[in-house]
Order: sequence, then structure tokens, then C-alpha cells
Amino acid sequence: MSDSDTTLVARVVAVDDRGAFELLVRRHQSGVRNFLRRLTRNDAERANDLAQEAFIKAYQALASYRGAAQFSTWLYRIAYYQFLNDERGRRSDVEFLEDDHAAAEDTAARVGAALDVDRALERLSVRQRAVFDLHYKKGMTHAEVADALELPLGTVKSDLVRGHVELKAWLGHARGDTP
Amino acid sequence: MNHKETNLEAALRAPEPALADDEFSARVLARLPPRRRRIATRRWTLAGAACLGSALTAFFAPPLGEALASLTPWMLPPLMATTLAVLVIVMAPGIYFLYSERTDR
Repeated sequence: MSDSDTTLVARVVAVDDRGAFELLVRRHQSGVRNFLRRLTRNDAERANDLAQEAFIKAYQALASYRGAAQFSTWLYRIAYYQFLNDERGRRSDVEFLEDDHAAAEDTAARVGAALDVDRALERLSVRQRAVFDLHYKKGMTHAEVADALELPLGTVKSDLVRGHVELKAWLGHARGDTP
Repeated sequence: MNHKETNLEAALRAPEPALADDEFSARVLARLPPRRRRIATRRWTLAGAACLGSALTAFFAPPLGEALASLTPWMLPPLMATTLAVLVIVMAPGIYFLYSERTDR
């Protein structure tokens, strides 16, 4: 039987068990890398670099993990902030803050005809992409997503509702449906 | 929920591909900061130091206890002085290691 995340974390904290930490990395690397690919709009190399940094930060902060939330929730929070910090470093703050709304205002006309759901998801704002990925791909509840991204529960729900509307509009337009 | 919405929901819930590790974990492990001094090692060192201190005290205790008692005969009988000496010698390394643990963090 494999050890739980909590057991592995305890071993790392107690005796700096690197083997236990490696198991944690192996267990969660795919999810974290996929999450960061979603946020970086499928930039695999950048997502891998960010994921590495996120795991190293997680290792350094492991003693502060209290087990109130699931380890994966805590880990995705670190990965999300790692992405946000990196994004801020690449662009000015003004541009970054505007991005959250710019994508939502993007019109269907800019979306290619061969659009599929994954491509449509890339049109969502950073926060919406994070919310959609954690909810639909990682199977988190609304409350867990709110906890992971440190957002109010209402914001998570409205991001999902608004995101759905936008996705349907973009996909419908790409397929030539009439509203 | 209409057909279009059902399709979208299904597409959103489609499992994501499992990414192969491809040395990713090894690269993370290689970049971790140097290993902390093992706590277990410290504990054994502490226990060893305490044992050594006790042994030395037991060896030198009678003259030590008598010497202490002779300095303060009205306060410390020889047996109590010996006990006090043992306690000081055993506790000193413990306090030192606890202090070094705290300052290392």
C-alpha cells in the first residue's frame, strides 16, 4: 500500500527524507505540469521550469504545511503563485492586470474556425483558466478551488458561469452556429 | 441541459494526458538545497554526550561531591552535591544542542 501524502510530508519534515519527497514529486508532477501548461497557454518548456520552481518552493515551505487542506491543493496554490510572479516579471503590472479582462472581451471573430475546447480555454483569462483546470481536470470542488487560488467562493462560481458562456459563444461561432 | 452544453461539459471533464516523468523528478531533486544536518544524528550525539558525561561524573563524583559539600556544608550534603553535579553535566550538552537546533532554523 502506498503512503499517503500526509505521511510522506511528515517524513520529509521530520528527517529530511528525500526519497519521500521524490515520491511526492512523482505523484503530482503530471498534474502540476498540466496545470501550468494550461496557464502558460501550452508552453511546455516554461511550464516545466515553473513546475520545478514550484516543487522546490514547496520543499522549502513544507514545514509550514499544516494539513488543513489536501497537499495537492496547497501545491497548486504554490504553482499558481509561481506562475503569477513569473508573469508579472515578464510584463508590466498594468498589462498583467488588464489581461484578466482582455481575454474575456476577446471576440469570437478572433478565434479560428478549427477551434476545439482546449484552444477555446486558452482564450479565457488567467484566473478563469486556473479555475476551470482545477475544477474540471483535477476534480476539485468549488470550495477547494477557492482555497487553492485564495479566491472568494463566489468569484470561483462566477468565473465558471461566465467562462461557460464565453466558451459556448466561441465554440458556437467557430462551428458557424447561429446564436 | 441541451446537447451542445452536454458536449461542452464532457469535453471539459475529459481526462488530461498523464505526463511521463522523463527525469523531471530527478531534476527537481538535484536542485534541492543541501541536506540539513540530520536530526537523528544530533539526537544520537546528544545521547552519547549525556552518557559520556554521566560516566565521567560517576567516576569523579565522590571527590567532586565531597568538594562541593565541603564548600557549602550547611546547604549540600555529599549525596545531593553529587546529584547536582551529575545533573549539570548531563544537562549542559542537552541545552547546547537544543540551542543550536533553534539557531539553525
